[in-house]
Amino acid sequence: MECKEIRELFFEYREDELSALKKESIVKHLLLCGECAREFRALSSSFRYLKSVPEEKLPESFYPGLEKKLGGLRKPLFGRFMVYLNFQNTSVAVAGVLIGLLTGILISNYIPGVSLVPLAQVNKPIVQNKIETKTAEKEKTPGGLLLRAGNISRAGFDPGNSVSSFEGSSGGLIDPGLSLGGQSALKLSKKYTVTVAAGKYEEAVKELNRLGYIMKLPGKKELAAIKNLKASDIVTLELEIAE
Amino acid sequence: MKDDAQKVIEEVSRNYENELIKKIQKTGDRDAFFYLVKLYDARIYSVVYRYLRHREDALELSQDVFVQAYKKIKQYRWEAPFYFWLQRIAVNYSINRMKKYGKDIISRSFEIEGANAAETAAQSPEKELEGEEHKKFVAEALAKVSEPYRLPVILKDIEGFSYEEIVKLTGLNIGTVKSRISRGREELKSIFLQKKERLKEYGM
Repeated sequence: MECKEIRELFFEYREDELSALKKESIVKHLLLCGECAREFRALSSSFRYLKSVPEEKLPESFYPGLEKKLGGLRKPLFGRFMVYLNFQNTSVAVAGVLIGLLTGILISNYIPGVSLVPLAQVNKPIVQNKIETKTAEKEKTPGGLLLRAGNISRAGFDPGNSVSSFEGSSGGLIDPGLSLGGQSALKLSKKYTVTVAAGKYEEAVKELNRLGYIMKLPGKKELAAIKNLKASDIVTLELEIAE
Repeated sequence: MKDDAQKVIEEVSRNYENELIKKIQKTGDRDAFFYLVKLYDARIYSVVYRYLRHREDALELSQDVFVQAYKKIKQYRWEAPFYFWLQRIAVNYSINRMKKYGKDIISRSFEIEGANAAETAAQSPEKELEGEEHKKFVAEALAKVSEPYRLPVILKDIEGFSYEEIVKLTGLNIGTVKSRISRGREELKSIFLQKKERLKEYGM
């Protein structure tokens, strides 16, 4: 091999990365060629230096700085949920919505007295049960446009009371604090009261949904109240429909 | 005997490290994390500093590396040694920093460190330079290696990683790693020889 080739392999030779054949030819060359041998000796000490260099001294400000950076990481409320905060906000929001929906579905399936028979088969009994919704439909028959309009619904529960009534007369059932939508859109909203047997509650809600109303999911208190009901108890729903 | 003692020490320290990692993964314990950082602080800092050639940037960046490690420690799956995992974060951070602010870092590093260069060049590597001077000698030689070759050379010839490990650390393919290392070494060799020449001029 030429001197140039040999010199290119000095590093590899020192690092023992070469094949036996190449190693041997370098050894031989170094014995014969004084120039290369001198250069190898000169470099050899530098290589050793490279290998044995001590670690750099860590500046004193390293730990205070690190502590500060780690300290800024934790937000007091979320201490243990830090990992989840690393996700992007959007995915957290999506996950939240999904979880909300799933729990909603689960909870609604748990309401007692509801059979899982497909809606089409129980259509008739529903119609019989919800006399009140019929009256609601009657009022809306012109054009049927109102059915598709945006709506707000409120549910109040009065298990011991089967009295049903129309319009503002049953206002006492609604918590005035809750009916914000009604107040702001007085002219456009109408109130209906629907009484349903507790066992048919969910079917009634489905039926309402089918007609174009979107029922809000019941709150915690309401759910507890529904769970305690017998199938024969009567639920009074007060609906407030806004255009 | 000596080997046995060495093995025991290694075993104990590995267990210590593993326990710390498990604890942090489970509870996010800050104090445990600081003990873990203490095992590797200077090593990580050295690599970053030798590559960036700027003390403040290196300090900042190595802190960021550890903060990132703390955040992601649950993703450490025990596949490679922890140091390797940590080093990979450091390498990624360093490469990104160099890409973004490379020119800026280089110009600043020459302003600060350039003043000392002539001084140490006069000293012989042959004489056993101690501590700081030894570091300076190596750091200066490395600083002259051009940028894409520097990090692979540091990882190979100072940190002692194998080619395969460097491939994993940098995400480059094996051919690129090998050629960069050999070119970097080539440059390093001529830098060392130049230093020799200059020493002759000084009559040493």
